[in-house]
Amino acid sequence: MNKNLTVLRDGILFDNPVLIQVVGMCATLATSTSIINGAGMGFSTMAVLVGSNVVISLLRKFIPDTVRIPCFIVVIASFVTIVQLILQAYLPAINDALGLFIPLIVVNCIILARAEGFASKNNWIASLFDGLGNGLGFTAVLVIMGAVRELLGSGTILGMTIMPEAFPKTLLLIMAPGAFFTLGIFMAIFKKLAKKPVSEDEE
Amino acid sequence: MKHITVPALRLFIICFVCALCLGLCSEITKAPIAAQAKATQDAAMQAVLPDANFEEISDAALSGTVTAVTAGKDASGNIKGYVVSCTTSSFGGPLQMMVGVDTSGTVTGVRILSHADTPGLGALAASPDFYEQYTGMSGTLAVDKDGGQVVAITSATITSRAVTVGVNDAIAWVAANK
Repeated sequence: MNKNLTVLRDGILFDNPVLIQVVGMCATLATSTSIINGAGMGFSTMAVLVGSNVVISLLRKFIPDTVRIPCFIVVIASFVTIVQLILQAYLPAINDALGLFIPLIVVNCIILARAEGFASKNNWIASLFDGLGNGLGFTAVLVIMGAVRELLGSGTILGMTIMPEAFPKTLLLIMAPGAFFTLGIFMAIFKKLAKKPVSEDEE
Repeated sequence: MKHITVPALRLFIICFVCALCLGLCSEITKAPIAAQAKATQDAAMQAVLPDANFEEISDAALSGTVTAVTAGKDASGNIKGYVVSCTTSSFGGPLQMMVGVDTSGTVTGVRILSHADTPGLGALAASPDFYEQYTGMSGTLAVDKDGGQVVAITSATITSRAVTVGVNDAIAWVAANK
């Protein structure tokens, strides 16, 4: 398989940022209360992740090894702030939907983990695919977790009521403990199902 | 010496370039952001007090939870009502809201601007099903649990009370200052 596609696939599946790498927990637990919230956080993170991966990859020869973490953080934080300012100024509709999540992206360690673990060692095209893959993997988990929690916790999907009135809503699921339960069950199922092909483990 | 100066210099260059970009971006977006904030504010005011021109009362006598008052005038310049901003104390922290009250003391609309309450419980206060019920009410309001006419959100009486307190303060402000 093409190397870039492998990188993309691994980000979504075998190296899934939430279920396998277990990074970005804070954002995962907080924003997977509904599909809309999960998708909003997922896609805004993906946009920043792709951008910061490409920039860090292009700068990787310039950034000295000893001070790489401060450099990454400065680049990522500037990136997020600029995205936020532009959304606020010119795209108010998107800002209304995602504005809440954007400052949270800075503290999302998926971005730093990919900068440190991938972008600082690979060229910008591979880094772009890595950003896309991890972003999609993150978004997919948030949306599925959001769907489960929203359906069982508030009886709705995408804000529309689909469960009958008599359905006992499990409010616990949309509160913080529900996030841990759902995430734990997801991780267990995923570990059981997803096994990376053995031959590729050598790479 | 070189192993200290070179990384320091490069970190400085990166910070300098980032700061430059941020400063530039901030300058360019300053005016559009201010315009957007004003548009959002105006839209919320239009929603709680329809068909009025707004003029902030900067020397309003603030009482209770009232934090700001804006007068709404009709086309000929007569005051037809007020938009009262309130910050009340709710379950998860401060709850910011805007209440439109006409000169007769009747609520013309309520919007929840921000809150920190539990999703699925107190957060339902920000949905039209809850706040629309205040429209048309007047006098001193109370939630049904306290013997009043406001239908509280199930399992979120504290939030429902917090909103009701704000609406009451808004009505009281208009009664005292119109």
